[in-house]
Amino acid sequence: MKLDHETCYRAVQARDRRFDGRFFTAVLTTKIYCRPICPAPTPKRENCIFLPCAAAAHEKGFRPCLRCRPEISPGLFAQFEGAAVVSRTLNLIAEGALDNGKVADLAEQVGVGDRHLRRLFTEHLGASPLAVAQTRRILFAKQLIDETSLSMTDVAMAAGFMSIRRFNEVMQKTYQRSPANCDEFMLQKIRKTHLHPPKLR
Amino acid sequence: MRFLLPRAIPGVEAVASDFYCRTICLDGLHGMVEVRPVEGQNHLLAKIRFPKVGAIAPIVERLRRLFDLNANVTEIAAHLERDPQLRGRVAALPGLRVPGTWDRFELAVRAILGQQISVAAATKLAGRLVEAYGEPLNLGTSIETSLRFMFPKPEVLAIADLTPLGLTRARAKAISSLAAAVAEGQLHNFSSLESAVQTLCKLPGVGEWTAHYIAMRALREPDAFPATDLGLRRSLSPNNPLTKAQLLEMAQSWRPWRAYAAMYLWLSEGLADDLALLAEGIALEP
Ligand SMILES: [Zn+2]
Repeated sequence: MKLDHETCYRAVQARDRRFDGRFFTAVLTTKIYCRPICPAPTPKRENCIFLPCAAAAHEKGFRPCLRCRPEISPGLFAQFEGAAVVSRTLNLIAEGALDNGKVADLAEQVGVGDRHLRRLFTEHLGASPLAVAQTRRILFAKQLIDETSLSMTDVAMAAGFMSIRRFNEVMQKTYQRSPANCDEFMLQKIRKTHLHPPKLR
Repeated sequence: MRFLLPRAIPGVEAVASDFYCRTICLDGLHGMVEVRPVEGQNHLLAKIRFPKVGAIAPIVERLRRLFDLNANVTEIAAHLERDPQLRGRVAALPGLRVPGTWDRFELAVRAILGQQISVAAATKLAGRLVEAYGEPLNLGTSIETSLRFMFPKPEVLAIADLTPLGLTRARAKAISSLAAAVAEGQLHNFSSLESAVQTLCKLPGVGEWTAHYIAMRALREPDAFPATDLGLRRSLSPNNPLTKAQLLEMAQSWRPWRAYAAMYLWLSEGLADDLALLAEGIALEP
């Protein structure tokens, strides 16, 4: 189902939980993107654009909000009605198909051409397959930092980054702070538990 | 959990009403996961014990699929509610998901084991299979657990003689053929639901029902729909079960979420436990 600007804006004003995960609000003035349920004051109508997935926001240069935490949004990479190929590809990306592999090989696995796959992604998600893979890594890393006791090196590896340097670079660029400072407070709170319990949504 | 509970494989899984625990094997390494809902909150908490930290992302992703957390439940419910026959059932079970599986092969074996016998009997057989052919759990450290085995590997079951475990010859052959196909990587990727069902049906002992059931739970095909299922055919017309064609006709408007419609119908019939008896048992395979 396609959501129009007005429906989305009203959902954001009402912080309507039913829309959580179905779109993200990117705010042109702050360059930050949010879930529909974000507790922050609702931005002006003309400053909002609505995007179908988090990767679209990342690709357009928006940063994830630290208050509503897009990384724990439900349905982050949910199935899409009428686009079985996209859903199938998202599953393979989630299994790490693009951590080492190429988009062309991925396309072959789901039985479509490389360019067709990119076009489907743009049409349904507003983001390329590579952006989706990268966004997954970033958001998953952020969740691990906040909710587990893993060291930064472990987080980088667990989230599928090829090197700790790359991890630091990407996280610095996304959150404008080093990963270790991403959420110092949360981290200390959770360090008391010794197992690593990521939350599933 | 209500669905997973009676199906837990002894030695591999432990399930309670608010708890799911199992052994896992990835890249030859053993581990354990524990998942429970957080009271009053809309999420699950997973505890993962695994020797390699790089495996956490795939483990979490597989757990998400096991609990079908990627499903767009509001959208699915809104779609199915348009049919007056489903409206009440959808309202009664908000946020229903289609339970998946940790391991596709394990689920497929479980589906074949369950053909024409009760869930309890199938569970007992699965337990014997695991004890005979599963690798013993090795976590490096010793921890208190009733879980002792990995689910057997396809390469092992492909050449094992399963009849001494109490399986019929046909069922044993079905499982070894499936195992051989999986070991050769034949059941890895499908470009569509149709091609998956077609390929699965070519295996001996796998009919349309089992193929759709595997597609629904193991392959996460949201439109899979075992239309030959007696429980489904009865649920909308208790006295005079619909034919497969009639049911398929009716299910047209449920697409592309027919798997969810099937779950609503099964569960709302109060068939949570017996469901499999109807679904896995009475729905006869060719
Ligand atoms: Zn926000």
